[in-house]
This record gives sequence, C-alpha cells and structure tokens, in this order.
Amino acid sequence: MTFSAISAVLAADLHELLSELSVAQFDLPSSAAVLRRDLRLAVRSALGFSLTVRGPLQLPVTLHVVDAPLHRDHVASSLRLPLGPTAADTAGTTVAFYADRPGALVDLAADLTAALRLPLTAAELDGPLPTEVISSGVVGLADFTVVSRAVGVLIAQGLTVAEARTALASPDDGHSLVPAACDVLTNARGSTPPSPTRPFRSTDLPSEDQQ
Amino acid sequence: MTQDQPFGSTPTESFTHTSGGITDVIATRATLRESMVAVARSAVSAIPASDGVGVTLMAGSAVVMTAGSADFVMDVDAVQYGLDEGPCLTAVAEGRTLSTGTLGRGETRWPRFTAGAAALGVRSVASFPLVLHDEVIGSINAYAFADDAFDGVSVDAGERFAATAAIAVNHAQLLATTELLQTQLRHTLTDRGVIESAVGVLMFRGDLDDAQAHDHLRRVAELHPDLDLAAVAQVIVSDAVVWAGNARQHNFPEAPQPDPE
Repeated sequence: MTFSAISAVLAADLHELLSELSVAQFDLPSSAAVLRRDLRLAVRSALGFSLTVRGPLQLPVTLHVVDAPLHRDHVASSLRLPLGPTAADTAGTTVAFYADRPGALVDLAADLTAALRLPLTAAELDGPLPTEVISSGVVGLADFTVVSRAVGVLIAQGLTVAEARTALASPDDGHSLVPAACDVLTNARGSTPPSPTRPFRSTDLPSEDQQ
Repeated sequence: MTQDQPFGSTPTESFTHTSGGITDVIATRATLRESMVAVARSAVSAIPASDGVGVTLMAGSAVVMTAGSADFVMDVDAVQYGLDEGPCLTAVAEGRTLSTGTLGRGETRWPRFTAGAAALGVRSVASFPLVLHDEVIGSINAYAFADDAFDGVSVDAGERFAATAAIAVNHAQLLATTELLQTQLRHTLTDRGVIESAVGVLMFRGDLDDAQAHDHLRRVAELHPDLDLAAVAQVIVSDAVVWAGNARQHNFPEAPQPDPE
C-alpha cells in the first residue's frame, strides 16, 4: 500500500507531518489506507472516517480520510467512539465513521463497543456532525505547532513543562489557547534571555565518542 | 545537559520523544490475534468432526496473520504457508469451500503439504474462505485426525460459521487497524511536539525566528547522525528544563517564577 492509495492532499499532509521524523515503523499512509479498506469491507455504504487525537493541552489534531468532500447532508449515519478512554495519554482520542445509508453502522457499533469493553452508550450513533465540509487531510497541525513552540519558549524562560502548559491554558489576558501561544511566540524574539548558569551551546550535545 | 545526568535520560515530565511506540503497535496486533483465537475456538465446537481450527487473515494472496485453537493447528498452517501449497490457499484462491477427504488416499493435489500434515497426524482438512462483498479476506481451516472426517453436515456448518466469522474477523481487524493508526498518529505527534518545542527553546535563546531555529536544530542533529531529530530535540528541551531548575534553585532573578496559583 502506498501514498497513492489515499488522496493527494492527505498524502501531502502526512508527508509534512512525518518529514524529518525517523519513526519509520509508523507508516501512517498505509495504515490510513488499510483502515479505509477495512471500513469499506465492514460497511458497504461507508464514506470514510475521522480520527482525532489530543496533543498538549488537549489540542485536537484530526486525520480525515474520506472518498470525496463530505457535506452534512451526504452523511446518513455516523458512529463516534472513544479510544483508550482510561489511559491518560489517549484521553480524548476518538474515531468517527461515516456512511450514506441510515442504520449502516449499528452492527459495527455493537461489535466495536463490545471489543473495547465499552457500554453501548459510549458509542455515539448519528450524533451531531461538523458543520464544515469534511475533506481528506490533517486538521489542527498548525495550532499544534504554534502551541508546542510556545511551550518551548516558556521552558526557555524558566518554566517547567507543566507550568508552561498551565500558563498557556490560563493566560492572564483571557486569550484562548492558540492566540495566547501566538503572543508568546511574537514576544519571544528580541527578549533578553535570563542569565544562564552557562550559555547554551550546541556543543553541549556530546560528541559520538562521549556516548 | 548536566554532567551528572547521562545523555538522553533527563526526565521531562511526560514530555518525551518516543521510540517505544512499536510496543503499542505490537499490542494492537495481539488484540487482533486474541479475537482470531476466540473465533477459532468457537469453530471447533461449530464444525462437527474438527479436532482443531485455524483462522487465517489475508491481504490479497499474502498471509497477514494466523491464529489457531491448538498448537498443532499452528504447526499445520505453518507447513501450508511455508510450502505455499495446501487446501487453504486453494480455497482462498478459488473463493470456495474445499474438503479433502482423506489426505494421501486419492487426494493428490498437495503432495508436500500432505506429507507435512501426515507427520503431524492430520488426515482430513476442510477450508472455508472468509468472504465479504465478494472479497476473500482469509479462511477458516478445520483439521481432523480421522480419515475422511468432514461430511456434508460438517461442510454446511463450516460454511454457515464462516459467513458469520468473516464479519467478526473483519470487525476485529478494523478495530486493530484503528488502534494502530491512532497509536502511530499519537506517537508521531509526540515526536513532532518535542521538535517544535525545541524550536521554541532555540527561538528564545538564540533570538531566532522559527525558520532559523529549525535550521539550527537540523544543523545540531547533523553533528549526531546516530540520533534522529526528535532525540536531539529531546536533549535540547531536557537541557532547558534542567537549566530552568538550576536557575530557580539559585534564585536567578531573571528566571520567571511560576504563578503559585
């Protein structure tokens, strides 16, 4: 399975996400294509799926894999399920499947909730859909990048990771998370760094013979 | 990086780049295998005369995963897939049920498999393709130690079981793939987050814009070809955290203090 098995836009988004990472075992394009195939086998009228994971501060990043851009009125049935609800690092992770036939996802909901040991009520059948058109691609990466960089700036200013996240989540000026992170980045340049115990140098990283 | 802390081991409060995601990937495959074993064990009860049943998941002509109700089943399947010859593969290729009669007695289609199966005591095989929407996704393979064990009743029962099992196996596979994808995405974002935070550290410390900071990070990583970019980013972030702790401990006035609230 290759990138060609998914849309060009999605392939480009995943390429950007994976660029410079060496998690070679994580073949996201192939996994996305396999899940699309598995879903089509399970539910003939399936239109695609959305997988949402939560980054720092519960910031959502969503992978949409659909055959064609989906308007709300294209979707006759949907199923949203939480994944890993008890593990802190997967809290807020959800998958949503879409189909164009009413009731098409009922059997799948029953099987998946049983396999996940969830109560049937945990499966949200035909719940509210996003108001905007769903297109294949990765949504939320830009905000994720801004917030992650802002966390780095705040760490460099002397905060711990937890403190940095708290500062962004509850900014003094009442801004919401992303604008607050943008402010941090805007103000990052030109600041005078606090006097370090020793200046940071790239040579702080050990040479190969020191490892 | 302080002298008393080994390189790359500095804790950073649940903010670490990951190379351990493969463990979760394996776990999702284990979950799928458990489901397939459960299907195989149910099949032993459902298919009269079977002493053991295997479930094979396929993608095209490639075997993705096998599971069995007993060890000898896995051995027989290993013979079959190792030789690339046997009733299961024929059933999958032709998309129809295949019952062998007594192996080695008038049944000559798979001579090498027959010899291998006989060495394990298996005398009869019935294979049922798992079909969904005209696509074969795998097979149910029933094995028996008795001669000519599978009659019409067994075949009818096997076909009915396979029709239901195809859905169960597909749903298990769909769930496993969903969990695999979310694991991969989560770990990818963790590494991406560490990299971007390191960019933020470098932006502040070096008075750099984001592109300059990213270039700097890449140049540092080039000095350490044995490490990936996320690992180098992790060192930079960890170093910043340690530095902040030292600064606070020594009450450097420039270091902002966290809000006690």
